[in-house]
Amino acid sequence: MRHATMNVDDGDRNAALQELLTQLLRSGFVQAVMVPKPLADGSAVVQSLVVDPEQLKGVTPIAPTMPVQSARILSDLTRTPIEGRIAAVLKPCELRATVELAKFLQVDLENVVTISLDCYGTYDVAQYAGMSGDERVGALQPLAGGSNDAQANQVREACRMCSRPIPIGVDLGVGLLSGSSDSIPLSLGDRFADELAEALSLKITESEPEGRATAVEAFVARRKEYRDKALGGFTKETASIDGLMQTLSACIGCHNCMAVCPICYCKECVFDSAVFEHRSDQFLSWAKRKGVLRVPTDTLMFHLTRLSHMGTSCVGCGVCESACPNDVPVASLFNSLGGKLQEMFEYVPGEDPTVDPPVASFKEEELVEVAPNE
Amino acid sequence: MDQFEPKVIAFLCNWCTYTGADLAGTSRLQYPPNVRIVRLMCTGAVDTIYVLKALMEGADGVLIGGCHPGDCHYQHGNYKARRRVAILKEILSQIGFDDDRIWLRWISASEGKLFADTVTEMVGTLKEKGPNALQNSWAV
Repeated sequence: MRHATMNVDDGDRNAALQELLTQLLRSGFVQAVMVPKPLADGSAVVQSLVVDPEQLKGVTPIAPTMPVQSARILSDLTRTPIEGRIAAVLKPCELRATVELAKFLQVDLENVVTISLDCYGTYDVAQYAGMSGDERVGALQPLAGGSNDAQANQVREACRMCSRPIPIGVDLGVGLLSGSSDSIPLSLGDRFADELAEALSLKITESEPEGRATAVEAFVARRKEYRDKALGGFTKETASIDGLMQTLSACIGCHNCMAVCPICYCKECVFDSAVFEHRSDQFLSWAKRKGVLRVPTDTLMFHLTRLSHMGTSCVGCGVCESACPNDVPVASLFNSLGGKLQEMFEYVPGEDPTVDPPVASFKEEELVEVAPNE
Repeated sequence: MDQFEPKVIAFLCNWCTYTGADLAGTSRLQYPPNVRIVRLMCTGAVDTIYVLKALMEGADGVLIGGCHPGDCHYQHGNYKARRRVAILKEILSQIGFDDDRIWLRWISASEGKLFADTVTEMVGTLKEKGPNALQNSWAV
């Protein structure tokens, strides 16, 4: 990891990033840039694939909203080999999901240059659309140090409890949390550091700018404090089957959480298969045995199966919860139970590309207590 | 009142534990008839969804039996099964379900007696635990 500094004119951090992306494209280092861009009236921001540098003028890499998990988009964009490189602007959780999907061979990172910004948290799409133009402009200029309390208290619950708001293992990291009104520190991964420095005319240094570590630490500490408090209460509520069923009571079985999850990549999911198209008399026989049956069926099984399949790789992005029509706290469920599973295997999803995901690997000497007769 | 007779669903691998169960039978070893066996090619093919389904639809316990570590017919299926079972047990224990209703055991084709003993022990344990309440929850 190496370091550099990017200049900011007139305190406009978003404009500085637009300029950086434009240079990447004009220099020919990449042939396209994937970056959030507002639609006509600015109330909605979508990911866009830009090849014409002119089209980078209005982009908003800092926009604090995440309509889709971009790891899914990168999976589509790299399904077949591409010529030339694509630079992808990702939230840190999108980067982690991308790395995780690369491990499952669902993203090919060879020609993707990852760019990721320190993340102050994101608003739900509807919440962002409801903001005034001034509020949205303000949200594009986060203060160094993350001292914007209003934003910190209004972003999505999954963001408020996110303890990994800093990109890890990124090709080009943008240190929004630190720096000043006229500069932002950049970090460069070894893979493209030299080429990026040339394309962006950067002066490379080996050491991290002063103050960066302290700013990050303080920000992460605030998040962790909230996370421990929120998950502590949640874990108590879901410590019994009845408690968990209460938490899941508003679930209508629409499977939206699964449909938007970046880690749930299976092309054919068992829950969409004929396995769950039961015969009519089957429902009646279940109802007869229990006297009464909740329909649609299999609420608990759906969530527990998803947890056991991909809880170890959950990056905590919370798009599941945002996609839920009834505000079931799916993200908290995965943060709490998935977090326990990740601790079990000392695994941090999306952190180290060289470490295999727990469900795709094993050790010969482990978990002896699970099968005690060996 | 009749004594509680637990139902056990057993997922056994074709190469080791199923053959071991067969040996228990041909050796005329006695073990409780509470176990219903499902033969799979490998414990690595046991998805957690099978176990959950069994526990929610009337099983009081689930036994998963496979080849001893290092002996898997498909090299590593049993190691992968062990991770999946560990994950499922952790989830279930976190939500207050007694994860000791799920047993993963290594029983080879020559260990007919171990199979009979394991079933006997498991049925005894489940009798002490009593019926699995989850099967009667209507709103799961």
